[in-house]
Amino acid sequence: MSRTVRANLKNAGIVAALYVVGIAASYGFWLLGMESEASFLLFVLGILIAVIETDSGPWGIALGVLYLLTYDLLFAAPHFSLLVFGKTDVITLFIFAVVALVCAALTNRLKSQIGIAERNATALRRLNKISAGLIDSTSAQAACDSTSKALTSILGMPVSITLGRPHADNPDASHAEVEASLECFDQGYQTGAGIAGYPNCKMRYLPLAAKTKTYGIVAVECGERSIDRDAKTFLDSVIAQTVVAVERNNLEERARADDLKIERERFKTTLLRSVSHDLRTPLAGIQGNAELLAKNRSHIEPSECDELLNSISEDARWLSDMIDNLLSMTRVQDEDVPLNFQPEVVDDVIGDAVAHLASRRGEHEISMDLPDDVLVVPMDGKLIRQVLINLIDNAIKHSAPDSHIRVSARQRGSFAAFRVTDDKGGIAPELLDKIFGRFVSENAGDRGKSGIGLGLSICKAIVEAHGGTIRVRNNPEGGATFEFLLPLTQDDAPAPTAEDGERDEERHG
Amino acid sequence: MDEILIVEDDSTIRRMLRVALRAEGYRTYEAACGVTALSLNDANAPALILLDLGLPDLDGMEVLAQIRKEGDTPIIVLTARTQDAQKVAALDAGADDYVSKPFSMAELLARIRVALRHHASKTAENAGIYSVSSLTVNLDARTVTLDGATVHLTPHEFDLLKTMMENPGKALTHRFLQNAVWKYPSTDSYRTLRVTMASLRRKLGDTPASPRFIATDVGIGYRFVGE
Repeated sequence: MSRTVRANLKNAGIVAALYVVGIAASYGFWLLGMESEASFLLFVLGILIAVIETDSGPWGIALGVLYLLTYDLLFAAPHFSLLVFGKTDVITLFIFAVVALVCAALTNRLKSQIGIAERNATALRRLNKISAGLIDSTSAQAACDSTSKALTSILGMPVSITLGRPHADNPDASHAEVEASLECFDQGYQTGAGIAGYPNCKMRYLPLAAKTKTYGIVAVECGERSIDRDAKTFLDSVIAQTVVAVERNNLEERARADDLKIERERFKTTLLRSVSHDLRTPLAGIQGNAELLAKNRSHIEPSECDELLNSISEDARWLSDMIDNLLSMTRVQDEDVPLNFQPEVVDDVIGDAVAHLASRRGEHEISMDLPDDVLVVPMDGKLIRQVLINLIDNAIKHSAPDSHIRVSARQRGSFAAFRVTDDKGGIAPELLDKIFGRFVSENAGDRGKSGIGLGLSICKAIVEAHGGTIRVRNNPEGGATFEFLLPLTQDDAPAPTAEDGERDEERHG
Repeated sequence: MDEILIVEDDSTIRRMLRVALRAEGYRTYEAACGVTALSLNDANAPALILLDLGLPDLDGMEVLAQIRKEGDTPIIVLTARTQDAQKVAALDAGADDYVSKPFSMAELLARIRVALRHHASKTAENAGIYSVSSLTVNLDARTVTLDGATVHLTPHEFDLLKTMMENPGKALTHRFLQNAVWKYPSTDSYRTLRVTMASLRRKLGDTPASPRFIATDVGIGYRFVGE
């Protein structure tokens, strides 16, 4: 309302100014003794300017009337009296009016053309912006999200895009809305508010569809307002672009999934090949020793008998460990089965792992260094126990026979840091970088030590599935330290890099 | 000597168990399926049952429930290593202990001895006082002494220790301990239970890797190992 008042005031001001200028000039002409034609031409000019500036014919006519009355009153004889309008005045006034109206019509046409051009430019700019968003999108969902956000702000109505068939049992939507949205998806035409036959809908539904396939629906919450033709045209072109983006992203996602599948298959094949090689050696040992004992028992010394039997159970245990590791690997690799995160006390997990290895520690001394406060870490306890078992077992096998193995855990910021340290031995420098790689075996020829690479790569896979990191280094004073960090809260917090850990070296040490 | 019922469908393992148990002086009965197992249990009232959960005819859990319905004969279940959920379910359904295949015979024999001993001593428990090596728990006074010195426990720690000592040698699941001590289901994935247990262990001076009193089975629960 106030805007109309302000516009009228502004127009009145313009008219007043033109009036003053026109009359003043006309007064000047009169003083100079010029004929009335000059003044009248000037008045026509004033009316033209008034119409263009005020954007309306009536203001121009009003100005013309004012000019004419004043001119009659001041300059036409007799002065200071309004003559009864003569023929000339009527014609003059008529011309003024025609000039004003023609000019107003012309201005309006021009303005509307400018308006159309501007609207087109805006629409184009918005389309460009939306398509830029679509090009950047990396998933079909992201494409829809970015479009719906842009549409909401451009149309001034909430717009949501859902991929796939709408839920038939959406508790938030009325029956009519659900029906309309399903019909839109199934039939591929627009339904809902503003379309005949959907009296109870507040939303307009447009299919997000290519020629042969409907990917989802666009729901525009227009409420009482209607979607005008421009908005509809705009919506249609945006939807067409979104469909292209959705199709492109779907294709890319499929390609990525295929790549992953191929990679996984390749991994499985390599694993299978490596495992069957690793399994055959201890199996050969078991078979050979068992047959030897079965056939030639009477010819073998009792002490040798014991050795053969020990070797059988040693090989069997190795096979059993191998199966544990393979099962852990399967657990971590199987994305369909989530890890079983439980709030485990580190004492329990470390204790269980160390206890598991108690019988085969040989000459090694294994000690534990646990935090003073009870430290609880969300983890899949079985898998982290497996990591610790593998690391300790690795230390038993690869450090000097009388080395001291220490297992520790400490809180470090928002992470729990676990360490398995030995003090004699160490790792060949060229192995440090690739020790967690798949199937790296330090000494493949020695059967007792084969398969370790699998163990360490499983450690890495398990720790990373927990959102943690693992690393290894040689200690300056001898031996090696394996360390892994697990987040204390299971969210997507990134693990600190290995360098961050160095600062806590003393405290942990 | 004690009689042991072996319920196992694999003949190799059955034979191995028979040989090993007889060498230890036990008498054995064998069942290759659940139906035979139930009838042998009825007919012979064995002192202990080794129960493989994967049977050809009946569900092992069903056999377990049937046996439990008829008495408190100690049951040690034999399970595959991967099936933690099954182990926990079997323990919650009344099994005393479990052994994962492949198992070491020495370990199985040790578990059998513990189960038999505790079953025998269960009826003859000393009124009001549990005592294991240097650990003494007075139930009426609610006091605990270790190596002659008093140990100060919170009420929950005390109840936890008491529950553990009432079930020596048995694998106790988180759920069992939670119900016994807190009397309501856990709302925090047994975090409170685990923390209380860790604190109790520290007060008892127990090292987790070679515990004198409380051993952990990650993913399963705890067992009281004090002798």
